[in-house]
Amino acid sequence: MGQTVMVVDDSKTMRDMVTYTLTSAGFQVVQAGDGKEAVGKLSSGSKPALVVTDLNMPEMDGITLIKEIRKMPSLKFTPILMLTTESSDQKKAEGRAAGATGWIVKPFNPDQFLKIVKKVLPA
Amino acid sequence: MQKQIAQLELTKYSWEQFASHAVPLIPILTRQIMTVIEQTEQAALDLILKIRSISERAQKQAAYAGSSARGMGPTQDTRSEAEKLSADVSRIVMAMQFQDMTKQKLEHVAQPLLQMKTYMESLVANPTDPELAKALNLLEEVERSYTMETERTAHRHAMEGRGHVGIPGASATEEEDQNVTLF
Repeated sequence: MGQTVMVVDDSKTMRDMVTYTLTSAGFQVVQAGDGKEAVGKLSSGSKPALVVTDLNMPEMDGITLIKEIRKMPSLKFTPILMLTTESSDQKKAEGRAAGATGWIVKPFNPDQFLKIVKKVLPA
Repeated sequence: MQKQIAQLELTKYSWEQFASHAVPLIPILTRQIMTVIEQTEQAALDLILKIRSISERAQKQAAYAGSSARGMGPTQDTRSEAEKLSADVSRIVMAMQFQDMTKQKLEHVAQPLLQMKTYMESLVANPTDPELAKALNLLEEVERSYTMETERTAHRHAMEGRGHVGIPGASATEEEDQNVTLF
């Protein structure tokens, strides 16, 4: 059984495309529609090996989600990739300061995305 | 004096007429935008399902063809075909993300339209409210809502009064390399 990745995006098409890409490569996927739902799932015991999150979402955005994840002792060092249309350096710096591991600007290339996923996942 | 009052009343009437047409029009326009978003979203979801199905069937067929031909694992030809197929699927998945990006751009257009509606309603109800003049800051708010470089560029070009100019794109590989930052 492959490692579990949590995919957080308010767009169902994006969630499904990321899920398709990951499951094709043997990963298990847990989905959440925004940061609040993701925090709920993580608080109730879900412990993914990686979190992939969008930036702009209702209820709770990606940067706040990262800050919340970093407060959870069991997920303090879990890699987190931002996957967003946002490309400004200022937002990237905010993501980095919050604790993101990497920043991928949409549209993503599935092959390249999987390479990055494998790179940031602990061996 | 009477002439000035008459002119002011005419001006007020004209603006009220404009608002009475514009206010009901805005929800109709934004609803049309949301309908486009919903329809393209459904189409994209259908496409994802079909692509997944086609990809899985093609991979099974390639594996079967290879094992039938040699009585063992896939041949070089079938492996090469599978790789080409995988590359094609990757490009399709990339292209299909247009739906999410278009959705965001349309939402960034719809949002200020709704703000304009609220503003016009307040203006008609209470035109002398001095707070109203300070309330509308649409240009800055629209600019702040952008997430894509193409939106910022289009906004800048429009502000500069330039006609529509295509935004130059990098080659696929260059674009993909620029799209990733590891901290």
